[in-house]
Amino acid sequence: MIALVDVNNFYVSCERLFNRSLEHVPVVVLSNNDGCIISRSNEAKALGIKMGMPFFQAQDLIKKNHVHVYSSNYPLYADMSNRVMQLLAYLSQDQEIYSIDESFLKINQKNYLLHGQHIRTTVLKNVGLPVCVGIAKTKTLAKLANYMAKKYPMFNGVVCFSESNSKTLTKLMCEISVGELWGVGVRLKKRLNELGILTVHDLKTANAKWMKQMFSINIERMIYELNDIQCYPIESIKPDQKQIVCSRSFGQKINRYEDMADAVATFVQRASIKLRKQRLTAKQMTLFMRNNLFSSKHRIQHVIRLQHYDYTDNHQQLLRLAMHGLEKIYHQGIDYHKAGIVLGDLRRSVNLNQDYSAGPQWHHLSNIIDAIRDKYHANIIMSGWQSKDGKWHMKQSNKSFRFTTSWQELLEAS
Amino acid sequence: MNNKKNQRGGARKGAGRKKGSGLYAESTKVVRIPTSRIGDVKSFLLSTKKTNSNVVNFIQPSVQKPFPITLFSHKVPAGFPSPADDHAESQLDLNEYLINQTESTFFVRIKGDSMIDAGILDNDIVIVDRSKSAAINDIVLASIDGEFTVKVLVKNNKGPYLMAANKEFKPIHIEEGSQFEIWGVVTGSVRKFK
Repeated sequence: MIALVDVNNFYVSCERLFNRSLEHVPVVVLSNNDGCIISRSNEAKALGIKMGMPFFQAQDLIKKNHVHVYSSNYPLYADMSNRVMQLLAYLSQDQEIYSIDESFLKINQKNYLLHGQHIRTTVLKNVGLPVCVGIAKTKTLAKLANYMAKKYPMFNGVVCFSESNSKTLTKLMCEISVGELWGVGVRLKKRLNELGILTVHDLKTANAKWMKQMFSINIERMIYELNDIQCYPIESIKPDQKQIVCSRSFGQKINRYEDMADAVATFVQRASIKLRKQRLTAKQMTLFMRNNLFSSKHRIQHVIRLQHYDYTDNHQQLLRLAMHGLEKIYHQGIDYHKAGIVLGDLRRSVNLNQDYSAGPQWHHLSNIIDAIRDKYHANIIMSGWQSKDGKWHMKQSNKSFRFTTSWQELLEAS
Repeated sequence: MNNKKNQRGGARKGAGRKKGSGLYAESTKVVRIPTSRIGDVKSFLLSTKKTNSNVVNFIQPSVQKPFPITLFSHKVPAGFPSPADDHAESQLDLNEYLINQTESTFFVRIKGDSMIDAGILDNDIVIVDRSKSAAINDIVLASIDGEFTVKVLVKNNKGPYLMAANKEFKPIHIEEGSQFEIWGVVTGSVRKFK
């Protein structure tokens, strides 16, 4: 059987674990640059604050109801995610980490509902985060079961398609919109609705072969999965990433070359660290920068695709490539709002030692710099282009401490 | 009749794929290679591939002399092998000594003197394990009305309460209606002198 375990309101739950006064009060967490609301406590949801709502639109609601607002604290969330995933690995036969707060598990216990509750209480006790568990024969149904466990309190956080009351489950499938299913987006939902397929049950009872002709093989698989026929197995070994992206919207507009170079150099640094951590090498880089789509008359976007002479994971080489590209496409007099780099054409870096031209000493240097930055802090070694408090850095006016990843910011107790 | 035949069928000028439009930007030839080496040959071809895609820029490497690298990181001595090799053990690791379950262990900085008689001083770091269940007389990290505190968990006939390990501090009784929880159990402490 497949279980989907998902942390409830993940970012908010992380904030609450280290600030117990946030329990039972409305809390929201904002995206990069404090732009949109990306995590809400149940109390905030009840106030009508919507997912993805721009912060300024919700400001009245937030002030009136004394909602606690936090900037996103990704170092904390990433560490808490690792803890949850590590614990779930102990509690299952096989694991596929699906996102920062979701994991598919393969479980073979006799009493699935009981094991689901065991997972719930263990994660809550040992790591301190509340989770819901959905159990079924297929991934699509496990996702649906998890949705039900979260949405309807009567299940007490665990739904199992083979053990929960089947009458109740069928009744709910007739109520839940087809748009809530795993893999059904806004456009697909609209097309399905036009055919009269409104609920999960409608899709489950649709003719798979006929639907495949109308849409695609994915719909056919979805219908099979809704009927207990597994089409998507658990993938415990992740396929290599196809590209690595690092991009940001800026805290304020950037119209000086040095500021943009600072930002681009930092993107290269972050992307190349990700590259080396996964033991990959890249040959292609795309650099892009654009103005604010909402506040400008004309949409301006500059893009350049750069090719390196060989596969590399070397920071200096990638930085040189990026700076070359920046020189070509940067235009004076434009208020840039967002920029980023994409590393493409990725390959495993097994044969790196054979690459004499790249110079093994360079390869070592990147690794040594990574190690020093890991040991001290991220800003201890930077390229000449970067600054400690560049203009482009994120607006994060209300960020909590990095309780679990910085000796300087540990939780304090008297 | 003949004219018509010339207009239909046969080779047309300019038809087919352009020369050099393939993967390798030149003409190719079929060769036999051992099955086990197909991967090697493919990756060699890819790594030395000439491209004709619409690449905007091509950065040339700075001229560097070839750099000698040692293929083996450890030299193999020709003489007598070290008798200690068979008895080698991994170095002692303080994490292993102090931490039982990494995913449920947190570090907390102590502020104040309330636990000095238990050997926990101001600015010490205590190790807190959430996976342990608190027993009476354990040192615990508790939260009372949103405030974190490290104290000894004790119990009388009225129920559990918290005691400091310092005579100058009064016991903390848990009043009804206040938010109280045991966040984790303190399993150790560390202090640096230098």
